[in-house]
Amino acid sequence: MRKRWTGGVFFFFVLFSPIGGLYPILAFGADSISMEPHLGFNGTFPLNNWTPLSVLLENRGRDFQGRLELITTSGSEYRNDVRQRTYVTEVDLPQNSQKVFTFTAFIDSYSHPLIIRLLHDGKPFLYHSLNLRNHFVTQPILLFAGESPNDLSSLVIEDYQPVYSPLRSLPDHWYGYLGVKGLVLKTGSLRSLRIRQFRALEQWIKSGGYLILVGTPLENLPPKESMESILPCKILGFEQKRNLPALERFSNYPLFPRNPILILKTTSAPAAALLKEGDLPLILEKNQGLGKILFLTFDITDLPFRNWPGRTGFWENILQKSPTISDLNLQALEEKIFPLMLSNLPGRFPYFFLALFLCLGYILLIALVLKMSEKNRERGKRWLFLLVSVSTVASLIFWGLSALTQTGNTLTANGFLVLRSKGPQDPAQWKYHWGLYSQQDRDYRLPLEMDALPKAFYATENPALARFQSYVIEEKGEALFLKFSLQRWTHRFFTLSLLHSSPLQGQAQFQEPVLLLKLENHLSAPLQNCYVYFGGHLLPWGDLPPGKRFSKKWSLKDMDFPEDFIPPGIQNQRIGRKGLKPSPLRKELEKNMSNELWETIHRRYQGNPEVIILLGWMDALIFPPSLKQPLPFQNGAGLVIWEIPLEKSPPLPFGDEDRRKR
Amino acid sequence: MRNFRISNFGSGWSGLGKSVQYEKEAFEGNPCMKLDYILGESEKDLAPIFSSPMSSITLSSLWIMGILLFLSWPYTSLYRYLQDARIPWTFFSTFAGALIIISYINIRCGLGEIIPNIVYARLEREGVTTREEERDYFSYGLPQTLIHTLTLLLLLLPFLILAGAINGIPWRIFILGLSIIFSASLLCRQVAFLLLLIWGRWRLSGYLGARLFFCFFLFATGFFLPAINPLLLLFNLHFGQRLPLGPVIPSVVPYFTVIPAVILVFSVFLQWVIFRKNRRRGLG
Repeated sequence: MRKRWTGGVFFFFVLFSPIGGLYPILAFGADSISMEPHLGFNGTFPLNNWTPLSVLLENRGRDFQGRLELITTSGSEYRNDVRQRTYVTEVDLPQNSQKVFTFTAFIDSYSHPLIIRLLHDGKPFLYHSLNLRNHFVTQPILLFAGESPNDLSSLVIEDYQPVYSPLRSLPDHWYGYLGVKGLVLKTGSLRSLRIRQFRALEQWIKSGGYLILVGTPLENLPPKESMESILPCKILGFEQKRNLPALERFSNYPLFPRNPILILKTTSAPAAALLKEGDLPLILEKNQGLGKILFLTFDITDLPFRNWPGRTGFWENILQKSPTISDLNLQALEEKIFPLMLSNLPGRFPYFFLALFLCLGYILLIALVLKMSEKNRERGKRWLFLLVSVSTVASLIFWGLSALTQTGNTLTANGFLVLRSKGPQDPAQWKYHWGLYSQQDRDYRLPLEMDALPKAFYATENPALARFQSYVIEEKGEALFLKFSLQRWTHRFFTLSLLHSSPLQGQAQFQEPVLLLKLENHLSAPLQNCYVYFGGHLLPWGDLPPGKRFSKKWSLKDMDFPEDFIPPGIQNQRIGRKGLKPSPLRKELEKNMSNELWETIHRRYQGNPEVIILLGWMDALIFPPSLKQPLPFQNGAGLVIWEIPLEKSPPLPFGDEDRRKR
Repeated sequence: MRNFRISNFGSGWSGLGKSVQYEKEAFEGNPCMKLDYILGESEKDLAPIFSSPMSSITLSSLWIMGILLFLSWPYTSLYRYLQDARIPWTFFSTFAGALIIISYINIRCGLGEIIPNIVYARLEREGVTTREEERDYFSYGLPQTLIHTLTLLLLLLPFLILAGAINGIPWRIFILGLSIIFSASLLCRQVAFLLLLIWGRWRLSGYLGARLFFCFFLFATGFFLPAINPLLLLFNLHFGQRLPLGPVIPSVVPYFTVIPAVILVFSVFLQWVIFRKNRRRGLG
């Protein structure tokens, strides 16, 4: 009896004692938090591309703070070049809550599992491993988002892979769509997108994305605000049609609907009708930035189209209308950039001959002091003082010599900006190529813009170093950081793409026989060695200092029409009063890229007098204001390619008459 | 115990090479080291800095260092090294060269081998007790060794600065490298001096023993005690995490714990040996 009593007191004591208070802490184990990852678009992701990934965390225990890591691995253990990309975000889970955390990750290998870790106090708390083998596709994806359409297997062709995805899986970053050829979305679904998803969608379209909006006559009207920002239009009601011959011709397949088809009566000022049934537009088309939006005024996912065999032809034709993102394919040219940046890095060894003469001078001076000391040993202190002085001065000189040429080498960096602008209103594509070179072991943390697309290049000729090429992308609130290590005497290359407003404003007009070009340079650096390409002709313009307006006229009558296209060579022009020469980096890039660049432009635009191409070079690496401050760039150059649509084009093909005359 | 007359310190005993009586007075009057003692050329000093042979050796060491620097100079562009992720050998070869040169000079200085290359030089010094052997190690031998080693290191410093800069070595590692050279060469000199005290000058056993220690400490320890091997440490400082071969030494703490401790033990031991010898000679 006594034992039971004492036992009860002990139990009571323990329950209300500080030890008893530990129970909730002890209960805060891995079981209290559950993790549910969703990979790609409904479990499918494009290989060698960016893909969204969301992780649902549910906390049934106490408040939890930690870090969520997503690790993608590539490379081969056999080749000893395994490297990892880690995407990190901070996690704050209140008691009894659940949150979705989204990532946009680059996956280029399916042989390593995808690892998702939840860390608490830096230690792994929850761990999930995803086998990627059954989830990847190698073709671009035709993404049907929102409600699940019926069977998509009939749409599978070699060029693309139709995939269905719920709306919640759509990416939060525009580059999450880069593996997507086209996104098919019902207008009503726009309402259900999160703000970040909608912003990502807008940016993707501007960067060259292809959105196919499906009107749903039987459902609610499309959300006005969302439609306003991507495709302003007016819905005037709907019309019933018994047959759609225009659509049959478009899809190369007859259509025999049992019931009338509902078509939205839509007008849109900025959009053009791609397909019409009489006066009723079936498909509206609008270019936005580098991308395009199609608006189907009928529900292609509903009856009678749901099982229509003509769907395949319809989607093939629709995808053929997709924007050609890169009117000017510069990929081959851009591959030249990194080696040129490396060979022109802002650093060098101390000058050999200077060092040699200084060393010889120093030794001879010491020899002189020692010789003199032998003659007069009485004054030993004086000789010692002289010896110490000579050696100290020499040390300072040697240090100065190395500081002059060498100190910056411990970390040196350069960059090259390819700024591509299309039209006066559209955002420009800022593509930064960064090279970081280090003589010391160091960790780096570079701030990025939230919507910047980072990509690392493993450009090293020493495969043993590939294992040092891992990096971390850390999201902290609304800030994004790129973290990586540089081992001594190694380098890293990154590219960063972002969409930002164009720093060049202007217009081009053709008033027979004069071509008029007006331009405002809002960059902080001068545009140098500018040329204008127009219908197979190169017109020199020289340098355009920043913050000024320029206007230039060329008479087409005076133009020479060379049979063979001759790209301009580099001009070692002196800029301004300071008499600056082009920087070695710019000079080298211009020398190596100019010809190929002009030839690419010529191939693409030689028969097109509707577009003017302005091409200029910069001697500085310009950043948009948000990226200016903390990057360690010491040296940079830039290339501006501006495609300006002519407000009024000359008759086609201009110049041929002159050629015939000659 | 001897009575140190501190008040007489530095009172101007500059007479060198005089009579034994005079020396004894000088010793009793001023047992501490004076700069003049190690700067002149006297048979009473083991290694005077401005003696002809020492000057010649110092000059030779400068030439060797210069040649080493330019042999390991990176003759291709900086970007070529970065492109191939190669590290120039300049830092390691120059620092290792300085370590070997200064340590070996110190071995020879400790043994009293640096004498003029003339017939009578050895005869003159036969039977002469040097000041280092006579006087307290802490007040004479140690300061003298420190000053001489520092002077040698200072003379090679311009080359070391250039080599460190070529490799982009941070100041912390540069100072560590200098400390390794300094401590290792100090130890070599102490060992050589100890052998001189035990076996006397110009003994084969001392000659071989000092060189055996030199090889043992600078090279052989690399095989079984890599953490205290100065050459391996410099190699590790040179390559960092990209060590191509050899043992990885993650920290310099073992070296900078053991070697200074050994130097301290040797200093006390040398002091004790000198004290005992002086008592036997009736100087103590």
